[in-house]
Amino acid sequence: MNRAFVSRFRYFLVLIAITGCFAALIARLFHLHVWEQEKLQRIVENNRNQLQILQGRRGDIVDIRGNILATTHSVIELGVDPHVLRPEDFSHIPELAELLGVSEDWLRGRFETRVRTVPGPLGPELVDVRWHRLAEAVDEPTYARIREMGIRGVYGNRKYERVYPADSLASHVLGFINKEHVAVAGVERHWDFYLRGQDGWRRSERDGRRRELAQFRSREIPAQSGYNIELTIDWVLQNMVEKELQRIAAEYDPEAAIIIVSEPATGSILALGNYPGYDPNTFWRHNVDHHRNRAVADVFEPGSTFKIIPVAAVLNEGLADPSTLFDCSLDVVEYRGRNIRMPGDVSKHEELSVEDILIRSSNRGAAHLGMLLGPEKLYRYARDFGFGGATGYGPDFEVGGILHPPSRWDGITISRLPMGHAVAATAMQVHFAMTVIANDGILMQPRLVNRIYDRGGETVIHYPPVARQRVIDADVARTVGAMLNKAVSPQGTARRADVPGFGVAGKTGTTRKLVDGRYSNRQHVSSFAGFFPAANPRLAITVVVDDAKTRGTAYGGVVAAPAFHNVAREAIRYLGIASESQEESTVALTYPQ
Amino acid sequence: MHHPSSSLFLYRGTAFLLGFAILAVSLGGSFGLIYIRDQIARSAGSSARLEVTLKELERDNVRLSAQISRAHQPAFLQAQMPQGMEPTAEARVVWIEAPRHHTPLRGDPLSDPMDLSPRESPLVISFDLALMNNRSGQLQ
Repeated sequence: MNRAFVSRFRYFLVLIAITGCFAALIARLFHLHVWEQEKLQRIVENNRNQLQILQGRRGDIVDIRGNILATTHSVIELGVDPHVLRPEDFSHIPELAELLGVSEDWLRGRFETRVRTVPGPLGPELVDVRWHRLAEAVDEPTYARIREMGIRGVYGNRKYERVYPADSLASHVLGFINKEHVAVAGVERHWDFYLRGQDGWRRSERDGRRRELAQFRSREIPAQSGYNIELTIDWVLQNMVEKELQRIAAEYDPEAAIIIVSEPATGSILALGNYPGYDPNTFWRHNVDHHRNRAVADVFEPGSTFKIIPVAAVLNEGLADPSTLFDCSLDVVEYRGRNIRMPGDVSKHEELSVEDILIRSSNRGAAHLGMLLGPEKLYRYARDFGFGGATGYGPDFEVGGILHPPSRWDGITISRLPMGHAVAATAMQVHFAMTVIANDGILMQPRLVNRIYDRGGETVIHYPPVARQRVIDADVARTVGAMLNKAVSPQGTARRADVPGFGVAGKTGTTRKLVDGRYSNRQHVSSFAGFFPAANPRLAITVVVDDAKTRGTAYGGVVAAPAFHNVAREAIRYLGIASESQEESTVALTYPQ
Repeated sequence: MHHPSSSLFLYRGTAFLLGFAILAVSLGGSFGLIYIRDQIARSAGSSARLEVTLKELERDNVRLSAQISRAHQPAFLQAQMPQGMEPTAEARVVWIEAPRHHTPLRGDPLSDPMDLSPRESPLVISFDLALMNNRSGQLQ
């Protein structure tokens, strides 16, 4: 280039311009890289870095045979971003509406609503809507079909949902998880610590389209699934119980009904059913009152089922033997210097032996036995049989019932408590008091969970049977068991409970309900607690029916005993329980006919 | 004795070779690094995809388990099976001699009644009798 053709002024002008441009560029770079470095770096890192929460799956609840009673599966919360929808996406509205079970108009409204008005500091403001929820929980196959439609802007976020495949079966045992994912009742709540698992997290980076760059994963704490819980419940037996509860409901329209089936030797609860029931999958559609596990939360006067306590106590104390006679014709008896009016019996009795008092369910006879024992011993035995304190069932808010100490008794309690009045107990307490007789005099703790195990099936915690205490001698328990066997004979009050050949032993109970502070003549609580075979008890079953609607008095022998019979008969076939005539060393097999 | 010009030629050749080697190592190293990073990204992406697949399979597994459980529940079987289900009739039960460890729950006078450990739950010797047969007696 020849300098003769370049103006000096132009030369410096261009030089200054170029230098200025470079200076401005350097200044801008300095500003970005030094002056605003921290702020910009933070923005970049926020855009690039991501922290993913990895949700831990809640553990399953299974029955004793491994059948799933509660599990957790993923569902998709579906929504739409109206701003990214294309015109052709609107043609999928009919198909999508059908899949979601909503109206086309409603769905079109969601697709077309792009802004909404919100209150702002200077009045109402319009803001963009980037997410309209279309469905709360869509299952995976449905979501796959929706994705196949290729609608831009319709997408879902996965979340876990608790499901109960057996619907209402054992719902009062299981409890449920509410919409806020909080365990509310039952096993779900009590063993929530083991079931809920632990969330993990992962730190990584993402690209401009917000896709994860897996190669830049820096730290990861994997999610831990919750442990699984194996109950002692057997869902076939549970189904038998709930079917029987439905029959009771259809026949007697009661206010409530409870059936408990357990194994006396271990205290394992094999079935526990309540009426009215509910479906934990749709718990919000049921009356809150139906969620309550009445077997441990509601109390009633046990009535005659309580008579096993004074009978067992006098025999255990050696104060009488089964043949000792008591005069049950007396209306008034002198006790410790005071005349006590004796309770009435359904039919008049003269002298009754201890055995007959139990077989015929004589209130006066029981009162005689109570007075023979004295308040302290009667109270102690009642406590030892499990009344007046929680059984240790575990889940739910178990109440201990009411059993006042002798210092708080009035003048007639000594004659009323032995017949099961002046005491309030749960069905669970009545049931486990009966298992003391079935289990050689040992009170067991209710056992609902067999074990807690991990995903690989390895046992983490085993719950062995727990014997709470010896209440009476084994011989006394067997003697009382033999008496209770006779109570189920044609001469006893519980003949409808009998299963011929299987030596059923048990006791009925019928108590009037307290309505507005007075005993009602029309509303009763009918109950039956028993076990079989008497010689080698395998199952104990308790039936309590609250306010059965019958023509006359809803006697336990009429309302509850047949339910025992029905459940026992089915359980015998299912479990292959040998009749008394069969050798104890045999087991049942079945074959198709 | 070599002519100075021949040494100069050697030096130039060596310098050229060294320069070429440096360039080749630099380029090779750079491309190698890019290749390695690409492979790492591919492997990581592949692992992430496998992870997603595994999660999908787990989800399917859980969903199927729940469906199977729902289909196996006694009430469903009794209501939905083509011929219905019913408890086993007593006439279909046969009795066999039990193995030695299936001892009665009580009756041994020497055992400590408070010691529950040797006792076995009757559930251990029980069978799924009730749902094995339908009304016609044919196995499902």
